[in-house]
Amino acid sequence: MTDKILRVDALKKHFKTKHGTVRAVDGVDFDIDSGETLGLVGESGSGKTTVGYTIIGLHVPTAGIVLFKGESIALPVAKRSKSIKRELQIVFQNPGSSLNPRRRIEEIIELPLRVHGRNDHRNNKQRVVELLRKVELSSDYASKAPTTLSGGEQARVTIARALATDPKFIILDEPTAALDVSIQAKIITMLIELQQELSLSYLFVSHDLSLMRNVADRVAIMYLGKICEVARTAEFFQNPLHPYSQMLLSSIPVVSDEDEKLRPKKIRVVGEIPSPVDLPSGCSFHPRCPKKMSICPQVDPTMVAVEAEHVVRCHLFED
Amino acid sequence: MTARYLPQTLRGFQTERFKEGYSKFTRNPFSVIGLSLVLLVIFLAIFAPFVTPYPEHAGSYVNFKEINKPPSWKHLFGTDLVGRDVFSRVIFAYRYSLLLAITVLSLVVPPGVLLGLLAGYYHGTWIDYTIMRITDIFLAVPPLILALAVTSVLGPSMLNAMMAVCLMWWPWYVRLVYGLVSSLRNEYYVHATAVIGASNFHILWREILPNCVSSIFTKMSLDVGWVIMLAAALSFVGLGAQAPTPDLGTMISDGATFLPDLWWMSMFPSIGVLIIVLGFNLLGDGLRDLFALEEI
Amino acid sequence: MGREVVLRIEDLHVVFNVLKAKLKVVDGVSLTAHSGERLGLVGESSCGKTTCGRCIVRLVQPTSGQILFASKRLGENIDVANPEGRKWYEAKREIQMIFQNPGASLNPVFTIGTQFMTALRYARPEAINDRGIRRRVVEALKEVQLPDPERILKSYPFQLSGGMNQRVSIAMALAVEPELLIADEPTTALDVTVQNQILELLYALVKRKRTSVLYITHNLGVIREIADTVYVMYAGTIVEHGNPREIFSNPLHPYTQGLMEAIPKLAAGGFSKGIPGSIPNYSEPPSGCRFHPRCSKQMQICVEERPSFVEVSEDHKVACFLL
Repeated sequence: MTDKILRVDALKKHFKTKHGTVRAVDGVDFDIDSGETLGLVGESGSGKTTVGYTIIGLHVPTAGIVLFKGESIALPVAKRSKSIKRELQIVFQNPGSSLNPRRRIEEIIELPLRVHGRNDHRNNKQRVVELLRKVELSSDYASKAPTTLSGGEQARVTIARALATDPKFIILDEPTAALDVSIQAKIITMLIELQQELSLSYLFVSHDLSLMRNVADRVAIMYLGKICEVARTAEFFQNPLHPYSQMLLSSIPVVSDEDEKLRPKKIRVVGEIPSPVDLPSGCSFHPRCPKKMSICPQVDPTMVAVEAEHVVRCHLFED
Repeated sequence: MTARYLPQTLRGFQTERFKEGYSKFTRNPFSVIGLSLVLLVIFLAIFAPFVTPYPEHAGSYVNFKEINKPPSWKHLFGTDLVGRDVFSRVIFAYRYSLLLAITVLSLVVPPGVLLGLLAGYYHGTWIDYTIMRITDIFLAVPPLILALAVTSVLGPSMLNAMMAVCLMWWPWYVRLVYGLVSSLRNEYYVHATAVIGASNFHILWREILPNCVSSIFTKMSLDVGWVIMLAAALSFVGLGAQAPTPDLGTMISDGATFLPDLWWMSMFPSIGVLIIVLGFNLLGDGLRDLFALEEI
Repeated sequence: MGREVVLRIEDLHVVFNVLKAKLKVVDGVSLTAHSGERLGLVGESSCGKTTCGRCIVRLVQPTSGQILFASKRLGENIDVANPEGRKWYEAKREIQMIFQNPGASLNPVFTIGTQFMTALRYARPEAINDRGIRRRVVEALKEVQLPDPERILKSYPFQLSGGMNQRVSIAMALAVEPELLIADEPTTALDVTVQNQILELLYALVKRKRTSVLYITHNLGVIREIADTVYVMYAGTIVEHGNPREIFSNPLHPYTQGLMEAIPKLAAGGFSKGIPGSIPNYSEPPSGCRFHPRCSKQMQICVEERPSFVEVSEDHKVACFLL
C-alpha cells in the first residue's frame, strides 16, 4: 500500500463572527497518496479554500487531525518545524497579488532559500535561474518587477517560488482561475510535468470540474463545509452518486457534442447556497435536493463506501 | 493586461517609471506651482543670511529712527515697531518654521509608523486595542487645547511649542499606517511569505512597509504646511517662539493691534504663512496623484 | 428570430492614447445582430470584446467606424459612434447593459428600491406616479424570480448574494423594455449552479420579450448553450463567426482550433500545451493577420495582408488565408 503523505480526519474550522459561528469546515476526512493529485471541488461557501489554508498553517483547526507524513501539523505556520515548512507549499489564487509589487522576481524567489538558511548569495542566484528554467522562463526574468509580467508569467513565478524549497506537497488553490484558457493549458501541463519530474503530491482546490477531469486522480466534492462524495476521477464522472454532484455536473457548460453526451441530464437548480451562518438542519443539502426523503432534514448522513474508493455521504445509499 | 511596451529590467523600469512620474506630476500645473514654492522656501531658508538685505535685523536689533515705516524700496515689506526690516525677518522666520516642521516630523513619524505597523499587523489582538485606544485618547483632545495646556505648564518657548505639536501629531500617522497595514496584511503575497516561514519582522519591514511608504511621504508633505500653521497659531497667542526670534505667528500677533494703519506688519508675515502652507499642500496633492495606482 | 437588423457594427476601430503609445485595441470589427437574435462575442482577456461592448453604449468613443442601431423610438437608424444632436439621448434607453460584477454595478449606499425606482423614473418619465413605478419595480423583480420582492426593495446590495444582485441588474435592464441588451460577462463572477439559473432566466426573458442580446464572455461553453451566433475575437479582430455548434465542432481558424484544444473536456483526453506565444503588444501589433506570429500554419501572405472573410457555409465564416 502506498504511503499516505497527507491524512485529514474530522477536520473542523469554525469562525466566530458577530452574526454567529461560521462553520466553514465541519468534519472533513480525506487522504492523499504520495504522488497523487486530489481535486477538491466546491462552489463558494463550500470551505475548500479554508481546508487548504488550514493544512498550510494559515488557520489553526478548531478540531480534528491533520497528519503530514505521519506527523501532526495542526499548528500555525510559525510553530511548525523547518522541515515541514520546507516540504509543504501553496500556490495562491491570484498570481498578480501573490507577488509583492515592490520587489524584484529574484528577491521573491530567493526569499524561501534565505529563510531556510541558504545565505550564499551567488549560489542562490544560480538556484533562482534554475527554478525559472523549470517553469520555462528565461533568466532575464530575474531582474524584472512583477507588474511588468503577464498573468501567465506571474503564475509561473509563483510556482517557481513554491518549488524553491524542494517541497513534497503543494496545495494549488485555484492557480489558474484568473487566467485565460489557452494560458491555463500551458500552466497546467507544466504543473503535471513537474509533478512527475519531482514526485510531487497535489491538493488541487478548484471549482472547475472539467479541469479536474483532466488533472486529478481522485475527486472530492464539498458542500457547506462537508465532503459529499469522493471517488476516482473516471468513476466519478461516469457515475456521480450524490445529488449535489449530479447537479454540479449537469450545470457545466460544455463545448462539444461529445461532452454533452457525457454530461448528466440537466437537473433544475433550485434555490441558492444558504448562508454558512444559518445552516439547514440534518443534511445541509436537503432544501435543494431533488431526491429528498423525510429523514434528510432530521439526520445528517454519514459517509458510506459504495465501492472500493467511492464513498458518498447521502441517505440514499445507507442501507 | 500589463504595459509590455515599458522596458523590462528593473533599472530600466525604474527610469521609465521616473519619466512617467515626472510627466504625470507636471501635467497638473498646480503641482508644479507647489513644488516651485516649496523649493523657493527651502532655498530662502537655507540661504537666509545671504539673501536678505538686513540679516542682522533677525536678532536683537533696534533702530528707533526707522520704526513703523511703510513698504518702500529700502524696506520691501516695511519696518516693524522697533525698526527691523520685515522682509528679512519673514525670510529668517522661514528658517525656524521649516526647522520646526522637520524636527516635529522626524520625531513623530518613526514612532507613529512603528505603532501603526504593529497595531495593524496584530489587528484584533490586545496590541491593536492598546495602541489604538491610546491613539484615540490623544485624538480626542482638541489639538490647540492640548498645545496650550502643554506650553502653559512648561512655559512658553519654541522648544515647548515643538513638543506640544509633536504630542498632537503622532496619532495621525498611527491611524494612517494602521489602516494601510490592516488591509495589506491580507494580500496573497503576505500570506505567501508567511507560509515560506519568513519572520514577522521580515514581513512587516520588507513586504508591508514598502507598500505604505508612498502614502506616508504624501502625508508628510501635506503635514509640513499644517505644522507650520499650528506653530504660527501657538506663537500668535504668545506660547511659541519668544522675542527676539523671528517667527511668523509672533510677527502677525505683534502687528495685529495696529491694523489697519500699519497693515504691513501683519500682512506680509500672513502672506508668508500662506505661501509656505499653500506650497506644501499643492506639492502634497501632486504627490498623492503621482503615487496613485493607474491601471492601463 | 426576425431578419431585420437591430445593430450593425461596421469596421470599428478604437485606439487608446496611453502615455506615449497608441494602443490599437479594436482593429476593424464588424458585426450584425438581427431582431431577437442572441449573439455571443467570445475571446480571451484583452482581446477587445469588452471595449466593443462599451462602444455600443457610448461608454467608449470609437476612433472610427459606424455602429448603426435601429431605434424604434425614433423610427430610424442612428450611428452610436457619431449621433446627431439629441438622438442618442432618446435612443439610449433602448440599449441596456449588465455588467460583470453584480455587487459592483449596484450603488452600495442606496437600497435596491431607491436605485431601481430612480432608474425607472429617468428612463420612463411618462410613467405615472410613485406608486405606479413601485408596482412596476415589484413586477420586474418577480419576473426575475426573486422571492419576497418587498424585502428586496428595502435591502442594500451587500445584503444580497451575487446571484440575487445579478438578477436585480437584469431586472433593471429589462424593466425599460430595451431592444438590445448587452451582457458583459454576466455570470463569470458567479458559481456554476447559480450561473446555470441566471442563464436560464435570461434565456426565457429575452425570448419572451423578443430582446436581442449580445453576450460578451470568454466562456465558450456558455455561448454554445445560449447563443444563436458567435463571433470569435482575437487581438481586436474577428477571426471566425457563425453558428456556435458548427464552429466549435469544426473550428477552421487556427486560433479557434487552438482554443478548442486548450479547453479541458469531460471526455478526458488530457491537455494541449496551449497556444504558443502571447497576446500582441497593441502599440505595435503584428502586420497583416494579427494571429500570424503564433500560427503554426503561417504563410507569407499572412504577414502582409489582413485576411477577409471566406464563407464556408451560410453559418460559418472564417477570416484566414488557409481557405
